[in-house]
Amino acid sequence: MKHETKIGHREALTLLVFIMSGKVFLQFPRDMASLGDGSGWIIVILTGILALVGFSFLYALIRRFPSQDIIEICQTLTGNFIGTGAGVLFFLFFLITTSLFLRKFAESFILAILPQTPISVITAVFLILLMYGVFLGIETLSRVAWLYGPYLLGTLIIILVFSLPNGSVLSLTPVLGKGPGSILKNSLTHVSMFSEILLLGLIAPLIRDKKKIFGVGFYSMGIAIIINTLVTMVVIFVFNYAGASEIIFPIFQLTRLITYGEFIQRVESIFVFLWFFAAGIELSGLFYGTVVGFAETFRIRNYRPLIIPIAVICFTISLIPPSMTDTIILNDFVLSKIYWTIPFGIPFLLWLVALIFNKKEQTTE
Amino acid sequence: MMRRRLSIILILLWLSAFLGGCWDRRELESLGLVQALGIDRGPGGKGITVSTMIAIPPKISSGGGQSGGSGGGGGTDSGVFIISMDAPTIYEAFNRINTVVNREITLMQTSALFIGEDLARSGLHKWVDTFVRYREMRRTILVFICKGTAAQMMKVQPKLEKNPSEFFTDLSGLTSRTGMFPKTRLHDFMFSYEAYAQEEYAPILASYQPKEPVAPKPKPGGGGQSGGQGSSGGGQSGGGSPGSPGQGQGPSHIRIIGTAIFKKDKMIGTLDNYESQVMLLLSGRFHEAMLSIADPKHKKELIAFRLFASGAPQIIYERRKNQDRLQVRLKLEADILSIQSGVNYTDPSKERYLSKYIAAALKRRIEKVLDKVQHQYQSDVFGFGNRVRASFLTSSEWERYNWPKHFPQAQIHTQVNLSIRRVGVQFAPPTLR
Repeated sequence: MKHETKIGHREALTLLVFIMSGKVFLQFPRDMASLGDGSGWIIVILTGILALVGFSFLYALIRRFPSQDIIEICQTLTGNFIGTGAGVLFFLFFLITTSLFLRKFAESFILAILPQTPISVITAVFLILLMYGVFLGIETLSRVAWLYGPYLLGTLIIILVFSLPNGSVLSLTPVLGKGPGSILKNSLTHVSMFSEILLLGLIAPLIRDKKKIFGVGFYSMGIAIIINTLVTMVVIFVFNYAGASEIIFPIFQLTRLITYGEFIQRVESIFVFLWFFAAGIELSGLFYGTVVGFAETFRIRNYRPLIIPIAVICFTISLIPPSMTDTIILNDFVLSKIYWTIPFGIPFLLWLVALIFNKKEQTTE
Repeated sequence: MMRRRLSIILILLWLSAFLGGCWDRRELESLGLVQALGIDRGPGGKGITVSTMIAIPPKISSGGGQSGGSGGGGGTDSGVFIISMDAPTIYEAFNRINTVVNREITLMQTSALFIGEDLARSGLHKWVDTFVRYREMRRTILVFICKGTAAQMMKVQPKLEKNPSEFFTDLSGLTSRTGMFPKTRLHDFMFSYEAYAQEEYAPILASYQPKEPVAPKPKPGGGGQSGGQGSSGGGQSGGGSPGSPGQGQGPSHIRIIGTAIFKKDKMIGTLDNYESQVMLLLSGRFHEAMLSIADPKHKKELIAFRLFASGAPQIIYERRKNQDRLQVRLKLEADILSIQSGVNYTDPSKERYLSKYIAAALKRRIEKVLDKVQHQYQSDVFGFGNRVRASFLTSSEWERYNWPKHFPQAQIHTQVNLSIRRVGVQFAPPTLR
């Protein structure tokens, strides 16, 4: 596939930050609080560091083949058969993440603002947005991310800062939560919290300035780690670990607590915008990964005709888990145990193959 | 080009079908906005009696607000009406209420939750989940415990506001001016409920019948308060005895008489207004209050001052041989408001003397409340446990330590540091010649 569209490094960076941090609006802080008690935020940091190590393999691979995306690299290195298999895995990873995130997002919408709307309607309407976004292409998506990113980040920071008076530093104790062993174990098993970085593998050849690719990956992960850590920290800070681990959408509850006099209250209406935009951008990124992953695997030159069929599959998968709690457990605690193998494990193996057989792209200087 | 335009128009038309929010459309006119929710033990201890204070929108915005009380399903002159129903659960009661009220009951505007004392004393464990699970319940709702029943208390109409929710929000906000009762949001309540390091407390309401005719009180500052003797000995605080609704014509005011203290999910006792001030001081939620104290040089005269907390109390904690030792350091400031005796305390050396004297008096007051809460109620409403928890490294160690069991035995020392900062707009008191 010819990579005709080009995207800027800043745009790519914000898009990646979105797809790694969008989960903070859903159960993420709660998951961390339940895993680590007062030390939930330490788990996020450690996981982030581990994920950076994982990312380094992905990057090493991208550097060897600067003009190819991860699926093409796969096929170059391991041949058609294995390459296609790995491509299918990448596609499935994006497909399932997109679908389950879509489901979680729709559920949260029902809980927060639209209690009587059927979930299928919310999912379907949202998918239309995703289809439109992906139809316009990665350039538009990443530009939208770059356009909204700073404002959305600003809003998030305001929410966090305004929540501080509701909390107490002592809520972050006991410092080590469930103990150092448990922290380490949970950090290892939840590395997949940053697995969406895989999208970089798909968009790396499109980034105009090849020298910036490392920066894009490294800084987007760094920013995502900071955002995820801060949100987890503030949630535990305000609700205490016991409370935080019981709340389904902690940031939503956090926002509902903000009151300054009679003027500033019920700010969750602003928060809903932030949340909707963030989810929209994150899901578009993931959905782009799904569609392009499929197209690349089967060497389809134009991915656009695939958008509608794959959207239908996403819609269907998103409705498979019978309940919201099932979705959360499936995504955050069952599948997340294996998710990491795809963005970190496969690139590691590929990198080993490239190293052993000393394969490199011919055109590199 | 034409086709593209046409398709855009079609998409827009199709999308506009969803913009109205077909399913979640709720007209304001069809909603019964519950301003306050009251819950009491159901008849015979079974189920629950739910009282809703529903806004009558045209009356909240204009007119009304005269009559003192009544309600009970009927319309009154005030902007709300109260309707109570018995039901097995809170939300089921809403359905039952909606067999009477033609508007859909919603908690979107609810700002206060009244809990009957009886229910609070019998334990809230069953109902707490209801408070936080339902999506319309906001954690900013103010929690009040009612002497008697919540249903009865809600019938008392506030005087200054047509909108009772505004009344309760404003009244509880006054804690930052008087410190005589806490402000407890549902969030605060839940935080303590789950913390394992702190017990819950909430302001307690009683009906109040002012004496007729309203005469000036004989002593400013209240009998039990002066002379730094604390208030626990004096029973109820000065000014008309609360908790005893006037005979005959029924209660006409609501008064916050102090703090309801919980242990686990059960209310176990109360602190009066002045004890509440001390409780807030120790838990770091005190802002300011006006107090009076006997003049050190002329015991029959009083000195009035405004007390400020200059910061949260500093708590130093150590554990030696399983003995918890807490040292609570309070940093306070005071402005002098009145010196009855005419002694010139604004002189810097006397100012320092007076500040030490006030600090000592406050310390005595604090120790009395500490003793009551620690030994009589055995409930850590101050949240010292939060500090103790910080001394543990892991949560399993902390949970095993069982702080609520250790709290009554803990050695708690207080240290009050008070400085007089300002003396009003007058130096020496006026001289009588």
